[in-house]
Amino acid sequence: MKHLTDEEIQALLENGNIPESSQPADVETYRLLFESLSALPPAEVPAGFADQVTAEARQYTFRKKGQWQAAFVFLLVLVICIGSLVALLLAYKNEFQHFFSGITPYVPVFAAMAVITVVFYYADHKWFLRRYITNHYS
Amino acid sequence: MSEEQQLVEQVLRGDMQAFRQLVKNYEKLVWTVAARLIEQKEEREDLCQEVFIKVYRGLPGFAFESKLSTWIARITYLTAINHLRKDKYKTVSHNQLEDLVLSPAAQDNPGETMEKKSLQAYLNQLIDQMPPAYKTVITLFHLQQCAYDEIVAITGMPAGTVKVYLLRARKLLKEKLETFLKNEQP
Repeated sequence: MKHLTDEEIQALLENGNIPESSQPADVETYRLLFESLSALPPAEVPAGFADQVTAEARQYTFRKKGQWQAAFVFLLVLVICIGSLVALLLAYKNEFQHFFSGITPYVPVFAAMAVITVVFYYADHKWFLRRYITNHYS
Repeated sequence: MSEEQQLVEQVLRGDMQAFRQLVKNYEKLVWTVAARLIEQKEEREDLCQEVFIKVYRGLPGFAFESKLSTWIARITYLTAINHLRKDKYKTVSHNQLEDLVLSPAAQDNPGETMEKKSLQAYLNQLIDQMPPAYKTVITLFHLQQCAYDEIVAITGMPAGTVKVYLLRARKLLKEKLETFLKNEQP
């Protein structure tokens, strides 16, 4: 009879084999352990849990829709404000000409900053999704 | 298209009954994993709800690169671990398995403390005293019949670590079981 280590006994039992060894007592205890562990009952789920979660998910959907609507209204107001401002500036172009000539050289800098901010938020969002939410483990 | 994919498609189309069915299919898995890591019943219930809301939110990004059960179990594990991190005082480090051998609760004569309880109840108690990582690998392997690669995917631990944790946890349980059986014998 061969002497088997704990690792070897466990590996054989994992594959469904009953190992033959010089320590039948150890093998028997491990066998009983494997059998008992596999027979442990799963946790009890409270009654109505699925309904509760479904109701919560439904509320989440409504909240999300509400958030989109709020965002749409906000954007609409923003566009109206910006449009009014542009119209005002165009109407009084000559009066603001001096001001425009002052900020014109900085327009590419502002544009670059805006693009970098958008790219950063997008990348951060993507990374978060990959790391925590979707099934990309690497 | 598998039944699982069809169910996901239905959920993505906004069918809440399909989502309810999805919850029904995986609630035992989520509760079994969460029950090992979160002791308080109310906290556990909140956590399980949170897991399924994360599943609902994350489903559009799920690309079936793994089994749905593996993905849901991973969300459960990460959510529970984050919860434990927030309650740091409840967290036990991965190196404290050996403390179980010396802890007063574990040193009690099992024959006396577990006189009226079954072997399964005794094993459950021992597993509950283990550090979170050990509890998780034992639960996933034996209770959920997960393969090694699935446990690696769920926990994010290296394959070698999973094997070592399983080996050490079983060895300890076997030693405890021996004492239990000796005390059970007349």
